[in-house]
Amino acid sequence: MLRTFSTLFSIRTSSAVNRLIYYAQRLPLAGRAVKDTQYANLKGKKAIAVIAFLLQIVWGFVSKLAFLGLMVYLPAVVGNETLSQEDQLSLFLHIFLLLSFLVAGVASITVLETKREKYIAVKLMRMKPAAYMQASLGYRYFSYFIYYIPAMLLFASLLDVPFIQGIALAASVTLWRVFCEYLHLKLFQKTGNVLIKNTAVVWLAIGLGYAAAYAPIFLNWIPSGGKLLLLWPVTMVIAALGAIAAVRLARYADYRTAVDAAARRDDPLLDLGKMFSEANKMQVKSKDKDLDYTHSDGQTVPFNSREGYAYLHALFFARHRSLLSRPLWNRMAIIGAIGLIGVALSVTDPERASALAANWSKGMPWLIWIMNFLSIGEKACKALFYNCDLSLMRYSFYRNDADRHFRQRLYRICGLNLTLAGGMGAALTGFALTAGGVPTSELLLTWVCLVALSVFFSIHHLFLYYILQPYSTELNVKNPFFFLVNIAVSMAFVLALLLKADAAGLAIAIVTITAVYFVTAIILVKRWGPRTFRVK
Amino acid sequence: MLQDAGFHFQKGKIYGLLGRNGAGKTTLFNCLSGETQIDGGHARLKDGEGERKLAEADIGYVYSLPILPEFLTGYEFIKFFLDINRDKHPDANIDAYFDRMSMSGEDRHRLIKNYSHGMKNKIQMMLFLISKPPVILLDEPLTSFDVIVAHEMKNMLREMKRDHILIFSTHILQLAADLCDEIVVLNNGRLSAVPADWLGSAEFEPSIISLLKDTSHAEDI
Repeated sequence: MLRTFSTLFSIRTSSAVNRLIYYAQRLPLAGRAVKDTQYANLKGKKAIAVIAFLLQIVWGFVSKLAFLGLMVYLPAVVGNETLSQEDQLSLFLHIFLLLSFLVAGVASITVLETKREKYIAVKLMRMKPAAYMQASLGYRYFSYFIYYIPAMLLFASLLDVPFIQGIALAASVTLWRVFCEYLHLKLFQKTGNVLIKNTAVVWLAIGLGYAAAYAPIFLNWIPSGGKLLLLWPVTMVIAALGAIAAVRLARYADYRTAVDAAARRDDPLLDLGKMFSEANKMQVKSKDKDLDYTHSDGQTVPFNSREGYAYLHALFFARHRSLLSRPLWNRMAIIGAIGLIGVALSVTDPERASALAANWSKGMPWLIWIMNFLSIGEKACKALFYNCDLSLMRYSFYRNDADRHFRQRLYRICGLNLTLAGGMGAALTGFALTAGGVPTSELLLTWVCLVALSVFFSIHHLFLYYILQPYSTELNVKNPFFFLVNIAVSMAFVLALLLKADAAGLAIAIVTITAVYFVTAIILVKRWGPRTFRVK
Repeated sequence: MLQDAGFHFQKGKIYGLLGRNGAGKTTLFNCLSGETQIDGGHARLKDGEGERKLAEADIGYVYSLPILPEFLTGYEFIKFFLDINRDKHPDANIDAYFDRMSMSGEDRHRLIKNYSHGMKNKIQMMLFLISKPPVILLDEPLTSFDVIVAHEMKNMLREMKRDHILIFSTHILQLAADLCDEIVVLNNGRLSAVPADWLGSAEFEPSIISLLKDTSHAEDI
């Protein structure tokens, strides 16, 4: 057992140290000093391993402190100073019971968890599954208990709970969780179900658990259930259950099946990177119903009158209609909902509605954020990249014609965004008219802003797509400039809020910036497009 | 990676670029086609009008796995391509090109998404028949082709060598021996020609192997 444990330990620390070296190499300046040969520097790595281990221990203590402090103690005590200490303690225990005993008992389970380390140890290094599970579970819960003691003692003392009861709480939670592990394993043995893979159940448990944990605070009700945890009989029962579970887990005969269920070679959870890139690709893959014909002889004819890039785009947008129409309809639905809520508000609560309407011009900078959110430019760029450009960008003629297809796509995306702007304008107009008190000039300026902003964001996403080429073949964004520019645009919105721009000033600023951006984008794409528009 | 890699390629011959994995064959192709920036040196093209720098438009890059826009049919894609190159081919007949590649009417109007590997390859080669770049680079051609498609491709290449400089990279000796007129070996960042009389001889394989084997490496078992 000790040998298994030391092997496990070596795998963990080696991985951690290698990860440290990997990320150190990625640091901006100092990174270059760390060469690939560091991976072979065993003496150095042993030293770093000690540091990594110490960091892990420190992290263990800190994380328990943080959890108890931020998620349990803070909500129970801060903001509830009016309550007696008794009541605060009840709240504390209630939250603790629900989060650490119930929610974590369902969601935070290692015995059937899909972990890469499990796969490496058992499948690749041929460790005995029982030995692995025993060592892994043993280490986890032993350290769990140790890490909990200082945190629990601290908060227990703040709430006037005796020392010994604080330790008992730490022991209870540890043993209860061991018991839960056993229950999960038993469930698997009887039904073949791995509960933690049933995302619906897990999320339901998390949702209900958290809601139940924090609801009493909002409802001003003091639950007394948590206090059960302090009673000695309860602690004894939990300890007994935990002990029995621990013995049964140590003697469990069929760990191999359990490990097999959790560590299949093609389990998507084992390779999170691949899982995310597949998910990304599903978003922009052309839908089968759009392309659901093997003969498209008939379908080509309507487009035959067009030539070149117009032909290409006509075909692309016709054959990817559902890729773009679904996001469009989602956004229209959100706008519709906002409009309805606004109108309903003005009908049911005219005073609040007209108070909101009176501050119309103050709220106008929010249009920037709204149009950024609604803009369908990014979805269109992703769809274009993955389904069309990825294959055609390799041809030099296509790259050299970057400005031609840029312009055609710009007009199409503008069209889509203008539709959304129109919807938003209609919703806002509806609210303004029913609430009353909004000067017509401000309403008109709102429309101007919406139109200008929709054009702005159409240019913005497409321009960044052409110049920065942010998408990799895996469809994740690797270009830091992309993030920086988007942050800059978001900052503009904050700036507009801070400067307390009036409606006219805001409209003029937006229209001017949009016009300048338009001209700049056209020029820059013509000049730099052929160079930048290639597969990275 | 490539140092002093210098060579003189001529039209009318199929050149095979042989080298080990990681020798730099794809890098060399990327440098020629402009995908990768060249740190130093130059590539020049000598044609009827004199000598000039090799431009991106002069290169046709044939990928072993053709990546084509899947939402178009073969016919539409070629039509699009011809539209773009309208000034070079004012009255081109799309169907004639398809006939030359012996693609049936049904296949031409099928979505590229549903094309087999061989058909995608035909479309790719059609692009080069249309655009006629002086230099055609083929990166590991014929890998993962079935017997028939490989045979068709080889015939196509032999036909095309008259009007183009064809260079293909491979690490399969037998293919190089079968198809090429001249072999160029890329080893240690340098290009060197292999004497033409080696090509038909029985010692071809052992000679190439001894050329490529690096004595500083551990002996391959």
